[in-house]
Amino acid sequence: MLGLFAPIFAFLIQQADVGRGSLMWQSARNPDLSKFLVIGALLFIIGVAGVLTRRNIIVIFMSIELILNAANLNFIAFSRYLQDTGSVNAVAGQVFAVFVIVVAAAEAAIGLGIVIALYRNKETIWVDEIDILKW
Amino acid sequence: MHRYIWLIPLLPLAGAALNGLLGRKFRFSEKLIGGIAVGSIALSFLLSLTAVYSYAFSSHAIWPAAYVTSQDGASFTWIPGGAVNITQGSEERMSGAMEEESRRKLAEIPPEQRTNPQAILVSGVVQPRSSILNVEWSYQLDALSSIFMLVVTGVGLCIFVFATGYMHDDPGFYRFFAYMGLFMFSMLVLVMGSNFLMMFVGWEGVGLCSYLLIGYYFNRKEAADASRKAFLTNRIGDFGFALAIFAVIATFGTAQYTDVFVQAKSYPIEGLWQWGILSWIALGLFVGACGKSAQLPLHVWLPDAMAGPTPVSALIHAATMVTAGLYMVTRTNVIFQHSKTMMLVVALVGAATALFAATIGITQNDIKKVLAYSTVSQLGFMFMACGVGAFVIGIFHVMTHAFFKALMFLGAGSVIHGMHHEQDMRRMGGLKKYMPYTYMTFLAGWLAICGIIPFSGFWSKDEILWNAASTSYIPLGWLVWVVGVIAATCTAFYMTRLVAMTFWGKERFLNTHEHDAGHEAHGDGTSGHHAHVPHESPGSMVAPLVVLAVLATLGGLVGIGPAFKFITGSDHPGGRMNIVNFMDPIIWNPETREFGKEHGAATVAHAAETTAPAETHARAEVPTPGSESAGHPEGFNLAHSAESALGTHTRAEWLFIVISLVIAAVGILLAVLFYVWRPSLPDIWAARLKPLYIASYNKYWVDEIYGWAITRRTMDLARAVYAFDAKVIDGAVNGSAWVTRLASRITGGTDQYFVDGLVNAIAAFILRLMSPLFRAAQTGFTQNYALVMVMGLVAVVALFFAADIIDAVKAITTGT
Amino acid sequence: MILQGWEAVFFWVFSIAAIFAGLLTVMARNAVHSALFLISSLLSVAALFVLLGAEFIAGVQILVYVGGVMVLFLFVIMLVNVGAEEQGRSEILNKPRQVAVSLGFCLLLVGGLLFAINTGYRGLQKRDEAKLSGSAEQRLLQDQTLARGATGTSRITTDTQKVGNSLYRFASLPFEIASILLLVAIIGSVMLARTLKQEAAVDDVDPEVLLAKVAEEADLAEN
Repeated sequence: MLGLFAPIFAFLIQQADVGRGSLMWQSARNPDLSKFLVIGALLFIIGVAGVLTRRNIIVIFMSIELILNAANLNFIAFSRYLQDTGSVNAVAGQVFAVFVIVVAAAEAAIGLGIVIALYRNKETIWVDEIDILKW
Repeated sequence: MHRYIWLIPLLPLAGAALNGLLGRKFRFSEKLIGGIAVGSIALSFLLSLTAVYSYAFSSHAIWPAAYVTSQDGASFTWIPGGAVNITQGSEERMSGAMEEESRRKLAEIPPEQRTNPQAILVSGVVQPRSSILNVEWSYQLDALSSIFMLVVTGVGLCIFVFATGYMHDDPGFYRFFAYMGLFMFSMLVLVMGSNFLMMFVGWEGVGLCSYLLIGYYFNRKEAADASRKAFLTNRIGDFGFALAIFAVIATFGTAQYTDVFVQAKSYPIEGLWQWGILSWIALGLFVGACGKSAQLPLHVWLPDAMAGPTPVSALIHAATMVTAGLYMVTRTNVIFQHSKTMMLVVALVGAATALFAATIGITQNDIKKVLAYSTVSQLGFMFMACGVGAFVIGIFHVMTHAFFKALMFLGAGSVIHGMHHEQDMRRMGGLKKYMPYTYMTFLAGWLAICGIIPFSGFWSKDEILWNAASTSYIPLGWLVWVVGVIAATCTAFYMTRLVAMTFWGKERFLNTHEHDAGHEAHGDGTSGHHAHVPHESPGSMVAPLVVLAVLATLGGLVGIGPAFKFITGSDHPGGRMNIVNFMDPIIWNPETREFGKEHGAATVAHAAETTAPAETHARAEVPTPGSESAGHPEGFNLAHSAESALGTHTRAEWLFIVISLVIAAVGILLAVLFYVWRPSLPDIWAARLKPLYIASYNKYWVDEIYGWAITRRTMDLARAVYAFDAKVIDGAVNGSAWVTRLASRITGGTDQYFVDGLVNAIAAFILRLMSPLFRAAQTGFTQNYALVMVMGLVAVVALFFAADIIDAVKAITTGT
Repeated sequence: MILQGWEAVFFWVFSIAAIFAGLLTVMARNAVHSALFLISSLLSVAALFVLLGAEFIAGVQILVYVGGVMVLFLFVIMLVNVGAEEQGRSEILNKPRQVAVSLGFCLLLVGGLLFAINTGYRGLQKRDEAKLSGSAEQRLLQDQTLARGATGTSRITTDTQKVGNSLYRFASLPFEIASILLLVAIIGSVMLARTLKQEAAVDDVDPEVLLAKVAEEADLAEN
């Protein structure tokens, strides 16, 4: 798999390596859909990294919020893009974002309820100390 | 004030909700429950009064036009039909093609026919209203609903007050008033709704409340049975009604009265035995009316419905709900008048019911049964009026009947209360000494129903008979008249019999017998049957009687006929106060094809205010005899013959008035002869006319016939189906189960000895080999699992873009 | 969809702010700091939403996330004891092996995603070339038809109206389901977070009896 991905980085570096006045610079001055997607992807990865590496369960939850936000950013960006292409029901992306926010709120409420219950019973918020999944 | 009519149905509903939802939990006292119920109805009544005044009589009156609350935006779309169009063809709408189309369609509809001037704006697209079914919840105030509102809330108020006395000490006090309030709400929705679907909601609502209230004493079998019977019988009618509504929507594309009638106006009139769509709609509607208003052959439920408490009988099964059929027929008079056939059917069914029920009433001994059959008979009279084209007179009779029949039912209730729940008239007699107020008020009702001048019943009944005789709407008017006259005689007879057996003569209540089950058990149902001396009822019961007695005496004066022109100075005196003038704008005139009997509605309003000139003929007898056009059914017409024999129109009318007075007198005198002067006569004549007497006493065995022809057959069918289920289907199931068991034994054997052996060997081998691997993967740390998810995600991305990645690799390696 | 002029400047400002705040969220030692950085990240994303013409979602983001969810987070952080982590006595990250593998795969994933965006967006552009040409002008024209605000300089957007229309027309059932989801979440979190004492109070059980019972059950479980 690593072998598969190595050329990608090479490709990206090659793409970036074309100096001012190039297409890359042009699109940096005038950000378009792809820039928003890139930002979304970066936020997503930061969130994923947080979920995977942190020990504090509350910070893990916050990272999940970050992931959801990245998804929202994608929804909104595509919604705008569809509006520009004159698509039917172009604001569907925004509607989705509303639902994502709803789910995030519900998830936060339940998750933090679980955290409190957990803390009350196990006196810890470190994820690696909560290992009763393995019986 | 008419802008606030939406409050009128809401108040009883709120009262009912308070009583029904909180009454039990918080143990409301009887005073509180009664206060809430009576207060809400009283407020409703006051609001109705002011609304009708402001609608029709104040300086800024809207009458004769109808007022619909949605005109002021006080409505909401109850069944939005827009969704259908939105999901379909959204592409077309985007391209603007649909918008063009809808604009064009809208332009085709002339502006005066658009009920909603702005048409409809759905997502920015103008759409003609007719293209989609949008049903709004709005109330309509016009002449017809005004009268019904006033009657329902006014008579309802009297009966509510009465009921607070009558239901005293009943354990279900709160339940009773919750049901009653709910009933008032449904009834008001029925008569005030502005479309067929609202009428249907009210229709079913009153049906439900009727069911609940008939079965109020649900611990008594006959009450429970009666409630079921009423409900099921009404289902037949409702089925027809529902079909008619579907047909209306399919034909006219809307359920709103105003829209439907405007369209229906332009349909051709369907002659005798022509079955066009309007005839079918009218047939469906009439089936519904038959069910609700207890006409032949669906009348069987109403007499049994007397198992409910007496105020219920008075309110629901005499004054209001059973007249819903009349309301509906009058409301849709445009449709009915388009079908000659259905007019004839309505008239004949009405006449037949009137006579049929009146003859049964003669022989019944239960005071409430007599009144019940009398109600059926009077409803027949009303339908008779509608059938001969005199819709206004039908509604007039609804009104007077509501007064005097509610009065008599409440009087009967008072008697039953005073007699400690005795309903058999053979055990009454001589009560006038003990219950003077009840007696005096009852007399007013008695004279009214017999049709003695000037009591209210006279005016309406006389007009019905006169219209039957003079009708040019249908053939066979004379037959309807003859039947009506006989029925009216019977009415006078059995009502006098009732009064005589109850209030006059010997006091028979002292010699007690073992009681049969014909009385109304009251709550606990354990009251001992000693010989009680009857007592007058409390003030809360007497006061409504007095009010209703006044109404029953004078209520008819709003409809004085043209025969009394020499006193009153005009055909229909009183301008808008006269019911005939007042109702005129809602009646369709087949001659001019417009609403309003003779002129357009506006001119009628004008004429009614500036006393009509002498040469104009009465609007009630449509159309004027001389102007009989060729389109009308030819045949023998009693009134015209009388007129040509006597010379003038007025003389002919007076002849019929005298006839109806004479028959009333004959009926009364016969009954007095039978039950006061010669008490031995009834038995002699019963023996002499034994077959007739038995037939009448057994209500012509209609229940038995239905029981044999329908109930038994249904049960036979059910039994057959059950047998099929038990023998064939269960047999098949059991057989297959047997086969399965056999098969499972065989496979079980194989499984146990052969497959299991194999599996055990292999599984054990695999498990021993793999388990350390799996065990290591199960770390129990959530984040390890999450990491595996991410690995999967990476793999998915890699696979998804495999082709592109390979392309990129190629591009790099080739150096481009 | 191309941002120009100041819009582009703001785009870079806010997107870089969002990413840095996100990074700090993940990396902060103190959970409260984490939460504050997350708030700033969310606000930056909300600003991006405004740039994308989704004012309604931006508002919802600020109200619901920043105003609601994050306050909840802060409350919970205060409820549970995080002193050990703050004072540096405790490791904030997982075991090194887990961290290393995670970061490796995250890198792979971000590479894959960027590659996908890069190639995918070019294809998308090619496909919608005709539709996109002149879309900016069209948008400007459309903006001209909007009603002016009270100040006369700005225009009143119909974006929120459109979202509402779409929400109730195409997604009314999901909308209702979402409301039920929220209700369930409320009830669920209340049930989860209540103490033994509160539980006992609701069930009309004497707390001491309940405690005894719990102890008994724990004994049973251990045996």
